[in-house]
Amino acid sequence: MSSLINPSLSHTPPSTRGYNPAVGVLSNGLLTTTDVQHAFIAATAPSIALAPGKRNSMALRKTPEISLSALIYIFNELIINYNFNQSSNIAVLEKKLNALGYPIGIKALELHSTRSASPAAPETKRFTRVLDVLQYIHTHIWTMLFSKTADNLEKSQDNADEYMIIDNEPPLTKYAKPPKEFDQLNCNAFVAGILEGLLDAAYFSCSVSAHTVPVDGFPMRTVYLIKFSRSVLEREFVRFSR
Amino acid sequence: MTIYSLYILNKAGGLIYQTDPCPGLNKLSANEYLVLAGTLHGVHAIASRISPTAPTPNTGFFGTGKAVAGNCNTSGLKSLETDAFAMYVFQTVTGLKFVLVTAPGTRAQADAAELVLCRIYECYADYVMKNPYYSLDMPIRCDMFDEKVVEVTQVVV
Repeated sequence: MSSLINPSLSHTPPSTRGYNPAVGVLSNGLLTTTDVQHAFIAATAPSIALAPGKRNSMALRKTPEISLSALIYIFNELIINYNFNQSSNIAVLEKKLNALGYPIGIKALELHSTRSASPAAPETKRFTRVLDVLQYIHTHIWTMLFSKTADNLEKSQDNADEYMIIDNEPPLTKYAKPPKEFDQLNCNAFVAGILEGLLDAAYFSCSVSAHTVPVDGFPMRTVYLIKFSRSVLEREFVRFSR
Repeated sequence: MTIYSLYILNKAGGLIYQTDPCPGLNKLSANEYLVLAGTLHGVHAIASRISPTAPTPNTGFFGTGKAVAGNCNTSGLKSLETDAFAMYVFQTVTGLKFVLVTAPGTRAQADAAELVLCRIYECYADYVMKNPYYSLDMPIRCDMFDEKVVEVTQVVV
């Protein structure tokens, strides 16, 4: 088991933050090192072969779609059994959901890059600017995950390091609103975790949280608040301010 | 068609949802609603056993004929008509009952009522069963389900 948890190059003592080329993203601040190592194993483990002999066909299909009902049932069981009964408060539950989404984000970036590569252009672009990567998430990643684009992308007026991606009707919470005693809970913390993992893997370290901001007709309108770490903004400033 | 009232009964005959889409009706006490639901459940069970013909698989609305609960070999009580009101019952294959109480009407209304019950069953499947905060067989308290039920019943009123 230890050889699994410490794949080949990881005899170097693990640092708590940053990006290690052998292990990937080390920490997003929420996860312990072991979590990240598990996440790394999950991210690199081969996916389940749905049709034996055609292992790659599912991963490379342009629009692989699954049933929303099936997904929601699984997601609900996750909330209830895995988290709801074992979490002392809402913040802990959201943190757990976030940690669950994190490895998916790392995979999502790889998967989308693999899918969008073509024989003519086998190497896909790596994003270097904050706005570029956010727009990429807003359109392409959202389309891959949810078959639609996000509804809005905004920059915070108060804080230079905060951006917001807004989804009017998040598919995972399309059918349910938390009861009054869990008013602050937004289960899209899971999606926030996906974004966080994706941005971390793309060298934009940040923390992402999901907040419910309802408007008329959209009771579960969700704002994903992306707060970049200082190093990202400094890098952006050094490279691109002329 | 004027819809007076909608009841949803769980498979044990407990009332898990009750609403009156038509304003201005006298309300019963909470206990009386429960008694009413329990009685209806019993009558339905008896009705499903006293059918003069041999028991056939429940074809229901979907005609699946499988996964039939023990007490629904026949469709049991499907409708009840009196001078003051008409009542339509729809039982799902899992034993859940949707009961619609309307103003007395014609044969065409029975078909319309079936449609309404089907739409409410759809809403139940979406907005109650896919709600992680709802526990099975307990009273339904889901805002989004309430809204959808109002929508469905308003369309036909």
